[in-house]
Amino acid sequence: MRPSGLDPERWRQIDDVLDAALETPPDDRAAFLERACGDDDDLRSEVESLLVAHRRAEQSFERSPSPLGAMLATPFEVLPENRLVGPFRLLREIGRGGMGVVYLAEDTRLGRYVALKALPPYLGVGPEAKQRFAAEARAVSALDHPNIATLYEIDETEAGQLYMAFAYYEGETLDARIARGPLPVDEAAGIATRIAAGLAAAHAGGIIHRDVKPSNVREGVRLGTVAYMSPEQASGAPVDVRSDLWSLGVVMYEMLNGERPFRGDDHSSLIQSILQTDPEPPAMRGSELPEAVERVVGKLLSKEPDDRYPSAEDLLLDLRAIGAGESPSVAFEPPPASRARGRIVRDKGWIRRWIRRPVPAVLLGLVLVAGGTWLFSKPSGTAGPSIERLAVLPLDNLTGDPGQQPFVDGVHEALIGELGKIGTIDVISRTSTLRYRETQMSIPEIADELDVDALIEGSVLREGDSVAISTQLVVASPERQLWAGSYHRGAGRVFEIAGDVARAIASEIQIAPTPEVQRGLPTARAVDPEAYDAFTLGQFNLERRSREGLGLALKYFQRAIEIDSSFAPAYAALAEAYGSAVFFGLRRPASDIPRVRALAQKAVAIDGAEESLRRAIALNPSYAPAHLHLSEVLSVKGRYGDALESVKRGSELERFVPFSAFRPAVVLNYARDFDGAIEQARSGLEFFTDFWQGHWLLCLSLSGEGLYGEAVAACEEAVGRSGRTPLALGALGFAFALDGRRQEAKRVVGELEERAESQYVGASSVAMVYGALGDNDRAFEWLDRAYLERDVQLVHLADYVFFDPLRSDPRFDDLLQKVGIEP
Amino acid sequence: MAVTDDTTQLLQALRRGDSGALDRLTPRVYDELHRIAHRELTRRGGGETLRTTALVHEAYVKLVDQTRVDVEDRAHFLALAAKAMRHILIDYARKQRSQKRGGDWRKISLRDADPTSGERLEEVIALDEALDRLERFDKRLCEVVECRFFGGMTVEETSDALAIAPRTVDRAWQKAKAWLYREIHEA
Repeated sequence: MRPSGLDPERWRQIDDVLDAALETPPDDRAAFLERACGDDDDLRSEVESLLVAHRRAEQSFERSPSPLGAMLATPFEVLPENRLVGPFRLLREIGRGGMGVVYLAEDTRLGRYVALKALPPYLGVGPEAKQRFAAEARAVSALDHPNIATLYEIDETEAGQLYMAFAYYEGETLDARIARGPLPVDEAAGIATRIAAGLAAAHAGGIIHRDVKPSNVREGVRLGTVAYMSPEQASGAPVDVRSDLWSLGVVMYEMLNGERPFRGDDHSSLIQSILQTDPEPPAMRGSELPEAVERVVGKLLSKEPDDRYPSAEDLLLDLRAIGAGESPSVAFEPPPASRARGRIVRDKGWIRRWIRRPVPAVLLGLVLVAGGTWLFSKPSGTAGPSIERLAVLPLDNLTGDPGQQPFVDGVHEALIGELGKIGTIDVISRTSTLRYRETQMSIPEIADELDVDALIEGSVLREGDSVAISTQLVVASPERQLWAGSYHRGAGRVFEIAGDVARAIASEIQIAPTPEVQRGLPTARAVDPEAYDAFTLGQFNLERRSREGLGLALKYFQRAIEIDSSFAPAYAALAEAYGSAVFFGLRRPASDIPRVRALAQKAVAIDGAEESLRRAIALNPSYAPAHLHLSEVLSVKGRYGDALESVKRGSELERFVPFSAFRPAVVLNYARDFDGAIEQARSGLEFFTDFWQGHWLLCLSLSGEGLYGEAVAACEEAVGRSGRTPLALGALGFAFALDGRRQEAKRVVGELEERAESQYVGASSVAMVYGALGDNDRAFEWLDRAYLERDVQLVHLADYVFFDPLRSDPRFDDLLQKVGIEP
Repeated sequence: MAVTDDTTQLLQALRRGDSGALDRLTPRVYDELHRIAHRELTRRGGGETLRTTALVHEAYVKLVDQTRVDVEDRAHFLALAAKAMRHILIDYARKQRSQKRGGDWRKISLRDADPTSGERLEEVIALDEALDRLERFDKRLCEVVECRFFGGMTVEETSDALAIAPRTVDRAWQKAKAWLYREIHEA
């Protein structure tokens, strides 16, 4: 073996010659070695073999997804046409650049065309490595191929050849398009927006592209490459993300003008021009150029990186504003000299500073960037995978600080909310996904259990006022990553990020989001980070639905509103917290009901429960609570058929949550379909044996069917499991009375009356026992008190079996009228 | 946070030439990285390459108060982390290998059972062994590989950390790759 026996002395000799040989152009190396090694044949063969290894190592390095893999990979093999790679038949090369080849290929299973990137046979690529590879590949391919970024699949042939298949669109290169003449402003702005989005994604992934230009075809166009270099790049100074923004400025200029802003006969005059000349405004040549666009281009082409946009995201904001016909904000800020310095750093913190750091070209090597075609026509009719139901798994808290969990949960909630607004996909409610927080289950297993087509996983990292959110969309069967994105922003802009994710995913699966989502409205507004923190703490506590939890939730929501009085979700949440507190009998409702209503109105700013709920559903068809509340409202209105439909829809979206599991039984009770209600309640109890409200519902349903003996048993369960809550005791007393066990019923009503002296007892619970005992006078005394106290159960006066014994009394209709229910 | 303070202070002490600082810094960096890597490996099911750069940077953010260190401190930290990362990865690979041989299959998730990962582990270990051999006659090349590969550091960072010119780093990296490639594939 040659190398292992080397001593340092000999190695120094080899090293010297190798160094010099690497400096020598490849064609001259043989002659050089001849001279340098003389008759030391060993030395020469050693250096030659290292030069061969060097070339192979470089090749595999450039083309492999991970440094380790690259180092160990066998050399890249160019694929012959007509060869099969997995199920794909290669047809022709459609793009080639410094780092890889893209083929037009036919999917032999589906008969459709794809753009196929084939990677070198790569040792031991695990599924996770593949996913990461795909994520990294996407960030850059989104940049180079704004329109072929839909990844269909990434897989490996039996021989271990890794390949990625992208949607293929017919189109011409941007180069060719520009050659036909300047582009209309709209079209140019649209293309620039897509490139900026790609850059933002790449930058978020820590990648600086350094080679933004209309075409990556390299043959004979070295001058072309230089033409897109930023001044700092051209002068050999360090580059950061803003260098890419310059290059995009050149591309924009070229699209609008038909010619490049900087020209020169050779490298040095071109570089001179980049460093020194201020180009003519692009408007000079074309027709009318809106001032906003001109300003954006001018800002991008500032010689000083500090005068450009600080990030692709900021540019994107302006480009989108222009696209929406609004005036851009950043480009119109006062020049940096008068602007508070360090604003960006304070705003975005360490993440920003990281992004600013140039990353090694190695990172670019991680990804196969196919050069060449820059395509921008419409998809050729191929649809994305069909995703109808989606769940967002709890996000990983990467802060390492359990105190940040509420914040992470808040991001989770926001993501679900924004995704729900897409409209055409069902998004499983947040409560249903919490059970997967620490799960060992695989993606397909979870997807199967929730009956969804795809899952979103992700993580949240927070540092002070900055937050970094990474998400990926994984299709369950066959399991593959469809999309991944990372976002870094201020902590108050969580809703905005959630909106961005929703839009990205909507476009990924090629569906049109609702106009609200498209516009990023209405929730995509900055929130005071402190208010947001309070809000998420409130949500966290609200979810616990315990006495203490609700108390804390009320406190935090109020604090959120104090800090940011226009933060609508906090009002809605506060209303819900009050409502829950009342429902659970934790608070005396007389004082709270009006507050709940006022708050709820403030949150949605409209009257009419049904209308507001329908509006909420139109905005977010996947918002399970809205469906469930709507079913309640419809029931109260006596529209049981509609109510049942709403409840079914709601419980489809919210699985493994006891409240929704029992809703159908509630509605069936209203509709007096007791048989069905008994069945629903029993099936719910199979899952949620400990949920006392379920036993209470069963008792209600059994009473309706006249099965009082069984109803007593069910109520005893409810009483025992609820810690003798008045609502359950009332039902128990009722069932005892009708089962003929009057003494026991009287004992129960005695307990209720006694407790009512020292604590809040829903008066209707006492009334229903007296009613069942036939003591109508006492029953109506208590009902009057219930009315005065605004006992929430009175809403169900017309429905509940528990009030049946009182219905024939004339006082009952009077009460119905007073409560506002038509008899 | 006290942990952050300590690491930051130790880095500053190291810059002032306090050699004891290195001894106290090393276990700190190693422990943190080990914890992060372990989390990642358990979470991921293991078996494939870690994104070493991300882990090293995560450790850096957790341990170091960035407002109080300069480029040189950062470079020292990264170089140290790169070395630690090498040990963690190789340890892990060796453990995996012995588990697979020793038959403790319960610890290996389905994803690990990928038939290629066995080979893969061998490759990682082969790389480590090749690096050991390289170190015997060219320590500098070995250090560059640790920084660039295990630490995911840029040429500039490596240059700062090892106090050699970027050009030398680049060349060393080329040569090391060539030598390792030949050693692993063709020896």
